[in-house]
Amino acid sequence: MHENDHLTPAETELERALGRLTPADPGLDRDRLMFLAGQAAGRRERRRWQAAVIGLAAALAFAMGLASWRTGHLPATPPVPGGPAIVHQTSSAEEDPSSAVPPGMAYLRLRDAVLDEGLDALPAVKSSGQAIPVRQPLLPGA
Amino acid sequence: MTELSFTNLGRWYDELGSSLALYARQVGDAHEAEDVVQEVFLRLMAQRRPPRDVKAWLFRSVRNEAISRGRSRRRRTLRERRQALGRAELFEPRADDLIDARAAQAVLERLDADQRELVVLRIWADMTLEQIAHTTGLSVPTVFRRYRSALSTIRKEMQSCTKTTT
Repeated sequence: MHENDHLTPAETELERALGRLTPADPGLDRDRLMFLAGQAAGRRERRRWQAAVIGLAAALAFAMGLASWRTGHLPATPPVPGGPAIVHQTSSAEEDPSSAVPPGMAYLRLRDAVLDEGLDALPAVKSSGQAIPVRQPLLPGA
Repeated sequence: MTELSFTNLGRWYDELGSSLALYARQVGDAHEAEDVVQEVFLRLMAQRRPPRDVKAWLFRSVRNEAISRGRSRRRRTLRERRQALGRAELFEPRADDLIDARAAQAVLERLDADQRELVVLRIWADMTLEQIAHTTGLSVPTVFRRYRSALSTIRKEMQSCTKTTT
């Protein structure tokens, strides 16, 4: 018992005597209680997984939709005035249409020439100012 | 803070199940005491975090649940409830009891409901005055005053029924 300092000895004795009485069996089925508790815990765990799966699916669908929307609405890059000039690297075949060879053959010829004569065999790039050589245009329409 | 696990659930049931059911019989319908206690234990396991004071939480939840169920059955008269309470055995008679179990039950049933509630919480649930105050929503001095008054009443009633103590 607690805080017995304020009770008289007779009251404390009565408390002790009453406390000796054992409450009757509540009639609860312990096994059933544990079973129901386990069942409830299982339901709760299942709901947690379901929520996680639904959340991930929603996030994935949103990401896919966003990616699709951005692909469809990507604006064409306008040319930047005063920016660095983009120089298309052309093969000798383009310069001289009469000597048209398949692209693969042009590469092989160039490779052989570089192997034989060194880097001097590479064609000089005609450019003015700061040129950025690229093999192909960035965008098909540009 | 104690973990919410099935091991602890079993321990809490073993330690407090009987006194919770006894308490549920005092504050609500005696026939629904088992359901009330079971419901409260299941609700405890559904908590995300264990209550700070599991014992106080259990008794307060039993009180709320029992009162709530009692309100939903207002058509039952007080007389019927008292009769139901009278039929239920509150204590298991034992040879080493210092007080006759049936006499104690009869005296308890004659107490005011508020006093009976405090006596059950104090003696059979072994709760502190602070825990009782928290459970019932009363102040500690009020709890103590009513509890002493209840003990006085019990003592007067039991004087003719008390067995000889050794």
